[in-house]
Amino acid sequence: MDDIFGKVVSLFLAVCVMFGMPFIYMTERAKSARQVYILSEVTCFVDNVCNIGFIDRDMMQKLYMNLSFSDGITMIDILHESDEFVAEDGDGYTDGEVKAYSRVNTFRDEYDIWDVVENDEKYRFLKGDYLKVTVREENTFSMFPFIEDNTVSAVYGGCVKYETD
Amino acid sequence: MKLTDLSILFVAVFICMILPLELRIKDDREKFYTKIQYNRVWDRVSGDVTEDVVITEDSEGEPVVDREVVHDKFEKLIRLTFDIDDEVSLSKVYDAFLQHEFYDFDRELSYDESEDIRILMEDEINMAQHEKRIKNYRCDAEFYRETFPYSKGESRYQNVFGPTFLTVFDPDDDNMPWTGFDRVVISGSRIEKTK
Repeated sequence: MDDIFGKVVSLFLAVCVMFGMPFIYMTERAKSARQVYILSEVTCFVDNVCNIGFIDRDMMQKLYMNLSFSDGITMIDILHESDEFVAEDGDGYTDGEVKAYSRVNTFRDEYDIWDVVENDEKYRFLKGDYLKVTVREENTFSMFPFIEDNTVSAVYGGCVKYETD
Repeated sequence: MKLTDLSILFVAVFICMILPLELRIKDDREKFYTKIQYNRVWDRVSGDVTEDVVITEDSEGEPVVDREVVHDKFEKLIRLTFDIDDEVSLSKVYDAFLQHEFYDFDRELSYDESEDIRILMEDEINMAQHEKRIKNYRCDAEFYRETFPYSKGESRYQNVFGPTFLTVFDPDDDNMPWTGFDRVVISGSRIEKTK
């Protein structure tokens, strides 16, 4: 009986090693290729937006389509930071007086962009605004589940150079 | 020893050999990839820093670049790019910089002048490396040649000229279990005034 148990265990381990390892190396290669691909797509999108100064629905859909085919779940975060000047509603201001303005950093994310873009409108940026796109893949294949693999990710951001009317 | 025991031993040894290899492959992949990513990010950052440069004039009518604005913008872009909220993380990023400086060369330099500045800046980089205790065999001259090209026959043709922002970024590899790959990223941008 011992011998049968040993045979089953050793067969199981041998199958894991002989069929698992080539698969591991193929997925590693695929991950490397995907990393460069994701970075290229994100760079393309950010540079495009920074040069033309707006996002429309086609651009957003194209970005999501290009990034969404994979085994795991792709998380896409978009950050839009802009300096805005907000009028202060303090005491002591009368009608004829110049109001004080304070500079506020405003942060918007991809949901705000989708809200505008879904109505077939263009989401416009001001010159000097900062746009950042973060992409990361979760639940990708890994041979050893206790080793987290967060390597398939990309961060790219830049300032908007051109402002449309 | 039975055949099954031998096979189990074989598999155990095999997995022990594969696990470090797997970790090493992951580590290498991350290093190569982060180098590409840092390179693109810093190229973009150094370009954006010189985008909104404020140029004033001094008493003699010479243009003067406001360096505080440049460095404030640089800090802001670092914070935004890497999601840094606290000062400790920011100081860690600044520690990784061998150099981030705004230079203003008012004319195209001759060979001797650029050689003098090159030697001066090489010493700076050597000191910075000594402080960071980087234990690798980097050829400093070769490294610096890319930062500050001094010859028109070199692979990078143009000499520095005018207001120029240079960054040299070298993230700390002390926490990495495997060494051997140098992730130095060099980027720069130049303001060119046109009519």
